[in-house]
Amino acid sequence: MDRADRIGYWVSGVAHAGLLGFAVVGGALFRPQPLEAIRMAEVSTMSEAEFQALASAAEGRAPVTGIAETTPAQPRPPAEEVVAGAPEAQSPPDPQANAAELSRPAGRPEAQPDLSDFEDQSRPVAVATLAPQPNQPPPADDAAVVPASASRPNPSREAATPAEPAPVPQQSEAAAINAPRPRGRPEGLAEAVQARREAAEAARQRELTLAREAEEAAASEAAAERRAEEAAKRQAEQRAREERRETERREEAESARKAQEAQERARRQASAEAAKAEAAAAEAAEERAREERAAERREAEKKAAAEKAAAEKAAAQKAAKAAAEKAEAEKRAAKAKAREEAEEKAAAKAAEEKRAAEKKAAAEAAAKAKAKEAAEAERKAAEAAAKKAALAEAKKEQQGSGGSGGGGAAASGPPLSQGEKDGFRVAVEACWNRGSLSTEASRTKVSVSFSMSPDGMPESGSLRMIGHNGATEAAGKQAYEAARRAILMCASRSGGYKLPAEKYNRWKDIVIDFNPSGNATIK
Amino acid sequence: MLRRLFLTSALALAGLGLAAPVLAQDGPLRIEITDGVIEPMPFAIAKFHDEGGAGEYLSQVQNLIAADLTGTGLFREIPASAHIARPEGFESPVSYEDWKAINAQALITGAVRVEGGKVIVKFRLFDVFAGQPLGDGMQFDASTGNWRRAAHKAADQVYARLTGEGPYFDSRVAFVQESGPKDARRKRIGIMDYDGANVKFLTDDSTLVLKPRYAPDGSRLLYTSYASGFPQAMLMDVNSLGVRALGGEQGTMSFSPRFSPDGRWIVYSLEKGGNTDIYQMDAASGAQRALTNSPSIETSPSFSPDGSQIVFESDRSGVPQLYIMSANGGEAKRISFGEGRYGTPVWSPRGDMIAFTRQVGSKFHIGVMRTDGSEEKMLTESFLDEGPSWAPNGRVVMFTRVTPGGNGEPRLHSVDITGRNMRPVKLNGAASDPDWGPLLP
Repeated sequence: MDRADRIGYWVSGVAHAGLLGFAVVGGALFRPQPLEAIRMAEVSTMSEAEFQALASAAEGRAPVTGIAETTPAQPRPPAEEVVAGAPEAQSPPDPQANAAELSRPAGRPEAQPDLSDFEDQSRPVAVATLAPQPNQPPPADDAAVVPASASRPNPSREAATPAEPAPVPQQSEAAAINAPRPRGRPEGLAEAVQARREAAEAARQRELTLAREAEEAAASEAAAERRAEEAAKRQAEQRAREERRETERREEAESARKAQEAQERARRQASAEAAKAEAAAAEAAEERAREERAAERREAEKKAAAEKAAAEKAAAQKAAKAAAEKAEAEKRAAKAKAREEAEEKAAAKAAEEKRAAEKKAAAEAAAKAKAKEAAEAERKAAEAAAKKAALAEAKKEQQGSGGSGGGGAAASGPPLSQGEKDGFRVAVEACWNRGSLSTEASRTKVSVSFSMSPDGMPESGSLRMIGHNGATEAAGKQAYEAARRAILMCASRSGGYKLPAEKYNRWKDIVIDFNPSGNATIK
Repeated sequence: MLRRLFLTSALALAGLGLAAPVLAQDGPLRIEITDGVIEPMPFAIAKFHDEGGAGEYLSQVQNLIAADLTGTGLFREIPASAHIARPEGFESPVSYEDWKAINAQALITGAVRVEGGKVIVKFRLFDVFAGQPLGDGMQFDASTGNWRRAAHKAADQVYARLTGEGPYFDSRVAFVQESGPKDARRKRIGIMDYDGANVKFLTDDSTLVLKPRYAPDGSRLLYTSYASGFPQAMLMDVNSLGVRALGGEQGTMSFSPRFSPDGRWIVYSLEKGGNTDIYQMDAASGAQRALTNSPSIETSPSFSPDGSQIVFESDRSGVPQLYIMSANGGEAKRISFGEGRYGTPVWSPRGDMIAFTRQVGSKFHIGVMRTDGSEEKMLTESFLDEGPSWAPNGRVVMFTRVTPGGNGEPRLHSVDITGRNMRPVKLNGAASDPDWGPLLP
């Protein structure tokens, strides 16, 4: 891309970014300023006569007729009507409140101006319509309204006297109208007008105030009524809620009472039925008992009769036997005599033979016993020798620790087989009673170490606890005592544990872990 | 070099492997035993010696000690007829071999004498197979009228030394005795020794009374009375039998009052305006405040032993279950989630378990669970078991069992928390609502 293109892209990018930024942020940065509120002020209008009066009063001149001739008389401003609902008009300040008498300026007679040009009453007036009748001076009553201390300076008017209006000649409408020169304002007219205006203004203000107060009163009454209505509604709702709760409570209490009564009735019924059933059962039991007794009596009688019969039979049999035996005895006696003589002879011979045989047997038995004793002695001697050898080896091993591995294994002998270990375990387990322990001790694992003598008896002084996992020492101690009892008891019952003598050095020191995680046999 | 290193290490490992058996051979033989047996420990109690004036107390004390131990289900007495050895005196040496021969694992020797209106009982305990005494000998004395307490104390010591559990024999149980036909049941409050002996009645049967509950020191009793026509909690002094009603508003009903462990507060359930909540009252001033405020029914409160929590029954979930909250009230945490309904929870004196009544279908159970709701275990099952109460050592639970049928009556039973050794309490007549008092001093 060449330089021109790059510049172009940059400019375009910046412009676009600026536009976007303006779109995003511009609304916040360039907020339209609120326009100033339009101020409105009341402007009062005045009539031609009043203007002239003001003008002449200010400069001492005659009324400015030119203007009076060319400008039609301005209509009076309509009286303001009080409209219901209209926003409240700010009450103008009371014209009398801060009224202050203005001091009359020091009258300085001025030179009368030349009014000859204006005194020609025949000059035509450029007004196509008939000139209105000039205002009549206010009546005598109204003069009383005009305050005595008039604020408007009107020195020039005092001298002037109102001239009577000249008669206006009747003319056609097309002709130029020669309006007569209006009469001079009668004395006190301005004050009277002003006073009337002020009075009208005051009255209007009063009316406005009264209307406002009436409105406020009406509004507050309406608000009060509304509040009262709402309060009444809330009270009614609350009463209704309380009544509902009350009825619910009564209903619940009622239902609870009814349920209780029903239960009571059911219980009474059940107990009455139970009582009846008891009575019936008792009667049945009595009858059964009576029947049983009668049956027993009958059986007893039968037995007695049978025994009597049996006894008589036995007696008869005995007697018959006795007679037969007597006869036989006599026969035997005779035979016996004959035999005796023969037997005596034979017995003498047999006795001699017996004696000889007994002598032989005794000699043989003695020889056998001697042989057995010799064998037993040899066996015991062999066992003793083996034990001695094992002890010697053990001593050698103790003395010669750290010897070569191969040599050591040959001196200790083979280890205990799994069967031998299981046999020993089962023998001790049979006496390990986990039942008579506290719940904590019966869950405690304990390890006990002890030494064994060669005859398979544990050395009671060597028993000791080497560890436990009980939560307390007391639990460990109880578990150890139960384990100790087991080891000693089973050894005592069996006259020593049956362990291979030739492997004594494998089991002369033993550690048993009593771990109550298995299933105990309940006896 | 690497190769050399590898070869050297391999040789070293092989040497170790060869040597391992030799090394192992030098250590002791080690085996692990996991099963074992569960059976009552056989013990022998040698004939006690009369050291003066014992008379009939001699055999009574000896028999009571034997009965206490046998009644736990953890011990079995070897009858005297099987004894080989007959010690001549309390101080005579023990011939262990003679006792081993009859398989006695524990031996109790003792002596009794009576002097000045007192019964003095002394004993020693021996581990027969270890051939040594278990602890020191001890002596207890009591008035002749309280000779049972001396025997119970001796049995407590033997039990504690052999099992490691806390003792519980020398304690009293409050209960409600029932009599009369079922439709006109008469009830009165009684107290008895834990084994059913020495029964005394504290109220007459003119008004309906329920659920007596001991104060922690055993000097006062709370119970619910219908004397006013509505259930009202009452407080009685056990010694003077003086009774006063606990403050309650008119038109309210109060149930199941229980003391706090320090005896200062009483918690109970109060029915007011159709709703039942748990309230707490100062036992001295009577000032009360609500601990729960919910549209459900909360009842049966029970303090933990440290007084910081309360377990109670609530049906806020739709079905009665067990909840735990702080003793000052506030949010409650549910701890029971099984099928059926849970109720009447009672905190163990050891603080580790909660006993309760559970109904599943038509069956009732007495059960125990950990305080977090775990390890739930049913100890009994029957037509109607309810209202468990703990022994002072937290090992045994007493409860009411009602037999079915028209002749069914409530009776008191006890069971070990392992679920074994359930047996009835020897009491004449129907009884219910047991509350096991503290161990007597």
